[in-house]
Amino acid sequence: MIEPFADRLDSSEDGSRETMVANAEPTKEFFIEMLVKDIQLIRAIIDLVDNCVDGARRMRPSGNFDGLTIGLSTKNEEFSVQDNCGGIPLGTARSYAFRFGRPSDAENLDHSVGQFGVGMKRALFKLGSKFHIESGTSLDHFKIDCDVALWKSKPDWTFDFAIASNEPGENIGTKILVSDLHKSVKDDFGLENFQSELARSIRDAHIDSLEAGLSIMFNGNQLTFEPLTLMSSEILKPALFETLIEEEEGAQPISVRIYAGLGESDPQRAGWNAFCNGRLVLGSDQTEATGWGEGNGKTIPKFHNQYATFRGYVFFDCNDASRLPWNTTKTGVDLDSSTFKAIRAEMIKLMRPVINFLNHLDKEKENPDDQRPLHDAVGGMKCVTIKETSTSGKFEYPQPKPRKKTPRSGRIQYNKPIERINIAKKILDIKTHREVGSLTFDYYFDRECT
Amino acid sequence: MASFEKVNYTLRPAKSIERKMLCECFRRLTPFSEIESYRYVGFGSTYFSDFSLIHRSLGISNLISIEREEESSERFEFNLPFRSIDLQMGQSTDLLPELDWSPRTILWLDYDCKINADVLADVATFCRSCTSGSVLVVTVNSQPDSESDQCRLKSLTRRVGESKIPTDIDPSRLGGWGTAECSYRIIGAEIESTISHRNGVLPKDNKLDYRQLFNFHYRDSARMLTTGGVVYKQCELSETNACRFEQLDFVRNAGDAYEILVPNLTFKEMRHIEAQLPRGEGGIEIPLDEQDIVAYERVYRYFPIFVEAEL
Repeated sequence: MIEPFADRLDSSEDGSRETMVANAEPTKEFFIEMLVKDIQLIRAIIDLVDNCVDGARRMRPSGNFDGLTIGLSTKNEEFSVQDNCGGIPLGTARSYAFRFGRPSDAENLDHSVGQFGVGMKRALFKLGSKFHIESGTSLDHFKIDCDVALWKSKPDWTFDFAIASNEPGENIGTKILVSDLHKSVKDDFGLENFQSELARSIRDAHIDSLEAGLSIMFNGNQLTFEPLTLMSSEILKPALFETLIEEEEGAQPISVRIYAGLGESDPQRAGWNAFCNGRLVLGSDQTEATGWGEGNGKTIPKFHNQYATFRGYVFFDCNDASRLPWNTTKTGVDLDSSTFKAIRAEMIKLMRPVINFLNHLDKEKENPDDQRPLHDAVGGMKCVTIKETSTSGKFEYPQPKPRKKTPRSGRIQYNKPIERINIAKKILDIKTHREVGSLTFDYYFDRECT
Repeated sequence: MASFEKVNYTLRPAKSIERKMLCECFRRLTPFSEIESYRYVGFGSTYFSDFSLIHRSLGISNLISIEREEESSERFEFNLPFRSIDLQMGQSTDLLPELDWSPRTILWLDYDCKINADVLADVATFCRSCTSGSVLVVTVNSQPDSESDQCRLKSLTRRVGESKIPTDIDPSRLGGWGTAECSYRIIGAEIESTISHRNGVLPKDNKLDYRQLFNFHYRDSARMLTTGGVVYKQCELSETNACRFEQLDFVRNAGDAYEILVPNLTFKEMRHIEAQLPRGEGGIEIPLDEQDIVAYERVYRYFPIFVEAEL
């Protein structure tokens, strides 16, 4: 007979009940070696940029970032990121900034992009085995030097300040330097393709802040950006859906704006882009995550180059960043979140008329060049920034002319011995195989089917 | 060949009965708003039988007919029975998402095909967009594929996609009304999941519920399934209850289908039975099987009368 589980816990001899627990303490290895596997190097670096952007937002709640700069360097077998975005207050550094995970009593920055209390540490461990952080505010400053191997070997979960002072910092801002880079990181930094991919990803992720005046220098060069645009004119207007999600009482509302329309033909950049508090989390998505292929391709077709002009933008904004539907690596949306599920349905509703128009446009290609009114209509159309678009909410587009009534036809193909075809040709007094097929069909049809 | 070229829609007795039953149910939507203010969207074909009935008996004038046979558009236009029908040519999967869904709508997706991804796409479009108090009706051909059990399941899977097939479907149960039962479940699941996603961000009172009203089985030739119901905001539960749908004996809230049986009776027999209906205490005296009498008793109010006439 099997004893009930609870009885087996009475293991002490005197019969008193011992408290039996299982050890669930985290290990440093988990953070240093495991967690870093879940994020790509580029994404880890962007996490550090996110912290700089949060600094800018803390400093300038108005959202004008003119004069604020973030500089990144991947040269000389080191990595550094430096900003003049206000610095980390000593108190925050002491109690929150280096905690693994975000304590619930941590001060909330409205509309922040750092949220999970994991990004900076994960990025540092991902990059190398030594890091140096210095930060100064108008009130205080500090420095931390850390050798990860030594830190790992000590039992407590603290980082020692090299300097912690209540004097204002010499420079207002934060500098992070990572040295002893891991071999794979060093290898990547040596590749030109990696550099450009990294620069492009940083630019795309923070296009919203760049538009707000933030300057990002990458290895000495300023990152340039193109604002988000859509085609908009009298006859073609993008769709726009806006809503405020106030599901739970007391929770901060999430504002959502969705645009769907057309851009320049570019299969690489076509698709949906999702932003959480201005941070791109999903770029040019052409997968089922954003509705492509929904309903076995019947509600929305799978992405295809015929939709290379499709552009969709969805912006989630919330003062409480924890309510946003993003994943911790900020590389995608949280598909299971009820917010995203409902918004995805709205995205599908908005994109369907755009797909219809692109299908009409594709069908028009069968017409001779001078009979393509839809192509003519969109051909010379310019894109404008999404703020400048005019829209009634609904996607408006030039309607295709109804097709003329033509009897439907089908093609019949078959093979027959050439000698017999030639005999038929001779008797029918015609020259082509095609005519043999057609006339013999008519011959049969006249006699048997009428 | 499109089905309107094969079948005269007005001569299908079970379909005709179903149409009238649906109409009687729609009439009960008044707690939401006057029935005349509803919009009706359907596939009118060239006969527009449903449109005639809806307009004549309910007074609904906001009518949209979707017709995919674009080549015959002139013929459809010629046959429009009322001026207020907005004939829209194209595929329902393309056109339904472009409609303005703010009016309360009765949408009858009256397909003659079997359930497939297009059907589910249209069902989802409705559920994603409809206003509270709107009614969805879906009719699909549910004749079992004349194949072996496994082939039946495979061809069903091919049509709707594997993720839509209920996990406990027994392939050997797709004969008879089995395909209808399976189609019913697939449509129900699509309605449920689309509404659940939509509810994700709606405030508590505005969350939507679906109440199934229809689960008809009938056969004029092929076995057909009609299912559907009303979508309403949770704060309009009392309006929904006030419709008293359950007073109609053909209304079905679950998987037990109402089979529309059409007994084959002569005019004289029908008139004789009717004269004794609604039934009093005694039996009905007529030399017929009791089951035929009962079948007629259930449908006599909706029974079509076909006579040859030169109009």
